[in-house]
Amino acid sequence: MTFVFRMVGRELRASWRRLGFFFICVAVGVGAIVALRSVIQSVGVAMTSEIRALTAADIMLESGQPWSEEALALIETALAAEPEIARTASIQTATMARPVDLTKTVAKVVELRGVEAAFPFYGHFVLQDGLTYRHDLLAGGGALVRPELLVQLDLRVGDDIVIGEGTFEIRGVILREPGGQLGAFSFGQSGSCCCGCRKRGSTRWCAR
Amino acid sequence: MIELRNVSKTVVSGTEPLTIVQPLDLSVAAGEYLSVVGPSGSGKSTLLGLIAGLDAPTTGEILIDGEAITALDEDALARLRGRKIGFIFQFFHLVPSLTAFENVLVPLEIAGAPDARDRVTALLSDVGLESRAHHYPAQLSGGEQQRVAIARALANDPPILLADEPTGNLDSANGSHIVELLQSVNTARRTTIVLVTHDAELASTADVMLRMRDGQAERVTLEPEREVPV
Repeated sequence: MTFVFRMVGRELRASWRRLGFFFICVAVGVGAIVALRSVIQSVGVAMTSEIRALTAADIMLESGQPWSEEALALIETALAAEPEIARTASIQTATMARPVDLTKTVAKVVELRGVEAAFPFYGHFVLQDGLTYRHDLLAGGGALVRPELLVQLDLRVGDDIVIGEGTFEIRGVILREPGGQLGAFSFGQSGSCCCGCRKRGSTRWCAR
Repeated sequence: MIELRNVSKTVVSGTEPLTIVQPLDLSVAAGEYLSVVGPSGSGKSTLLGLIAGLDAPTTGEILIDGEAITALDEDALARLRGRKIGFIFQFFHLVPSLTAFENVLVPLEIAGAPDARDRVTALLSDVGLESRAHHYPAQLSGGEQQRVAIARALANDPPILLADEPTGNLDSANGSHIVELLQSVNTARRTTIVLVTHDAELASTADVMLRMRDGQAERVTLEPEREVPV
């Protein structure tokens, strides 16, 4: 055994540079794998913890086309098997918005979202001036808008706004909303608003 | 003493058998210096491998000091080689990560020799390399590397030294030094030497020459007074 250790010592002495390079390669490789796994784990944890806030629900079904009868039947069948599941539908579409006052000749493309009373299941709206969100704010032709839209259309809370073919009263300003765009992974419009209307567009079925 | 009785070697090349060494009887007396010459492919190195027990004959038996090595298993063969046979290669085969001193030291360490370091010093002095003892093979010339290889082959003081083209990779000056060294080993230690070469001048320095062609051997006696029957 002594001879074996002697030979190991001689080999190490003669090839310590190669051995050092080998260990550096192993260290870099292990470090890269650990770093990558750490990043993946962190993203996974963050996504898991934030996903409800991002979707405002546990499950979200989304379509860029109107739902077909067959698809709706499938959804109904699936949800019927889980009676404890609560659900709500919302639409999201791009449309035009302008002030009611025709002397203001400005119109903007906005992202419109129509929601039901159950929205959102998770997360909450943050409105300007400490206003608390409740669905009543959208009832009877109410709308909440982003602050930049107010600036662009020169409007204030309490003014009326024409969105598509309907007229809505601006009842609050949205600073932060749940179930919104997925951060850097989506594109926003020049302004956005949220109202209780229904309109053809991207439709979501959310459930929890 | 080395004795070959009806030894032959046949391999299968494709589907045809190819006889590399025709049936051969040969005796090499203790202390004799035998050279084996012949063109490439005549079976010289195969014959050396058979004598060293590195290869098994197809027919016949090989005896080293009366012991039939063809009947030994690998472990017994390794022990016999360690005790009785030194081998010198054309391309030296020194361990590149060990110094010249350590290359010679390793077989002594394996054998458990008590005075290994003193013997290595003496051996390197014998081959004229005491000043290069702590150089690595890459720092030595081809002739110096071959001298280290000879010192290594002699480390355990084997009674038989087998050399396969020891000067084949050296220039003429270094080749001459190696030839002189082998002659001095044969004379001073009475070591039996079997030297394979295709250099007729080098072969002529031996006591007996074995000329091989197409696997067949013909003995040529160079010194009648030391003639050995084939």
